[in-house]
Amino acid sequence: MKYETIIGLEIHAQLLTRTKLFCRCSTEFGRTPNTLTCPVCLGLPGSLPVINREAVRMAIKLALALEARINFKSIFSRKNYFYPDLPKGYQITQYHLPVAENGRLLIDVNGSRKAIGIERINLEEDAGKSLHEGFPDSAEKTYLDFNRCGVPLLEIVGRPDLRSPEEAVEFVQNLRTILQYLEICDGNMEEGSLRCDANLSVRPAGSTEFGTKTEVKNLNSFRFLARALEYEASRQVEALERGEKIIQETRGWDASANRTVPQRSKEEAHDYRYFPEPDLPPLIISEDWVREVSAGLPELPQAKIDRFIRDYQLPVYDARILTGSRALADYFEKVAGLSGSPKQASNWIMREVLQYLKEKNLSPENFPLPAESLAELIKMVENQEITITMAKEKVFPEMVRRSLEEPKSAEVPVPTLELKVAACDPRVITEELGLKKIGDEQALQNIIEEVLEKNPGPVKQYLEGKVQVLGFLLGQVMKASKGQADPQRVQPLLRQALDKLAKK
Amino acid sequence: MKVDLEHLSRLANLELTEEERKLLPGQMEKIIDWVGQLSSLATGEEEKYHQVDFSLRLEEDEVQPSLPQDEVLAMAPEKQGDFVKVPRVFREK
Ligand SMILES: [Zn+2]
Repeated sequence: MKYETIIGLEIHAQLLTRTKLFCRCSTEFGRTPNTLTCPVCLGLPGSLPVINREAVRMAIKLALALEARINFKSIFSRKNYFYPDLPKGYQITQYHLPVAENGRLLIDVNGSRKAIGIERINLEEDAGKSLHEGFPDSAEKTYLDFNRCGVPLLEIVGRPDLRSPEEAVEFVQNLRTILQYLEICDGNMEEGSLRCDANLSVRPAGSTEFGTKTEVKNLNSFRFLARALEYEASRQVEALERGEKIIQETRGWDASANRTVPQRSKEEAHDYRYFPEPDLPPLIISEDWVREVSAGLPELPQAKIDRFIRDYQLPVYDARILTGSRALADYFEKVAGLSGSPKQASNWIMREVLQYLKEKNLSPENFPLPAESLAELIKMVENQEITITMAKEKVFPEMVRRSLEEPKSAEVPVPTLELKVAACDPRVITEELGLKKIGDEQALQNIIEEVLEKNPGPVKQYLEGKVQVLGFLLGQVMKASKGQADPQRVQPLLRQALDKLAKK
Repeated sequence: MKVDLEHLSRLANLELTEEERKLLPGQMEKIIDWVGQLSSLATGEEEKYHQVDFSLRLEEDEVQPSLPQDEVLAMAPEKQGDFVKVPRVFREK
């Protein structure tokens, strides 16, 4: 039987605010444990939470980007449960009325666009960190760091509209790019600033009823997300094929065993006893505020993709890769504009630049070479001042190397863009490396004559009608020119020279 | 209203003595019934969530000093180095 997989995702995005959601403790990552807490985030008696304006602004941004309906009045609630990393004994979250509802996120499926529903967006606080391993007495003790208690999160609850693990990965990737474009979350899954849980069920293809679902947790990388969902879907299909029933349960991804394993059974499921947070009034968001945030919204990835395809005539594939980050898209637009060759700009960035970033494990905003310099190099190639091979193999790496040297001058002690652009000028580098393309006809003729003199055998073969030898001779000319000759121009000259010999 | 003392004590992480087990249900039911009178009031959505009228205050995202670490750790029943220490939390594998 054929089965269909149904997936709904729940994402937690840690917000890039300076302070926590309900107190002004710093949210800085990696500080000494238990140095960023106060009576509010520790839940000490008599303390009162005060909402962080910036966190609300970020929630509005995401709601707008996901075309969700913003609730002008939303309610904070207490979710009660006992766990040592939650010193208050409850988490302040949203339950009855979330900050936004009914949004959608577009994903690309086999070349067409599909809208995935967003049920709700909640503002809530994070818990602290429990360390279960790594201490001499870890067998008996758990260590706690409360620094993360109260750090703002947006919980994004997606509808079960996804139909394959690939769609789920695409959903998370697109959401992450949006969060990064909005500058509200760094999207780092490995460090936990973007966390993903999934609900998954399978059903016979064509059926309209939902099967029993399981919740899969601990999907902290794109690789694990895809693997865990693939595993879970086939596990359910195999169980159904054997005539078993799927048990509704929470399962965790065990990366070392490459499978999902049950975490806790439904019987132990928590009774969270949600009730409205009495210490916080309803959160009121004015229409004016929404308008103001809306006006400051950046161009979003999907719109950028469409524009790149339309205005720069790029293939969809290029447009999608180039818009993967705002920094990369901005860099492309600068190079495209300055060089006047969007297609060449795209080619250079998709190959040379991205390869460099991958090798050095850098993000696009840290690419050292100024867009001005790369644009200049592209112009030189377009004007046939240098061959594309030389540009890629010799000049580009040298430009990048020099751009890393942080040039300073006596008058300007700090590295400026102008100094950097001057330091990695491709014309200077081409000159210095002696790579200037041999455009001079006489110089080319001289090289050709020399090559023909040195290779009487192949010349004779050519004259006897073995025209394939031309390729060999062309290669010899290129070699003699140290790659600085343009094969397009060498070929006719070479033919002429051979024809002249034939007439002798 | 009937009280499920077993369930409530588990949720509240409280161990009860035999005496408390006998005494509490009656007392709690009385309290719940007394508070329950409020349900007879005709209320709107508004009152359902918040009874006290206090206006919304949002704060700017500017860092204020946190509590000194030694003060925080001093409140914990057990500590070690930079951490608060508790009995190991059971983790299913
Ligand atoms: Zn605090």
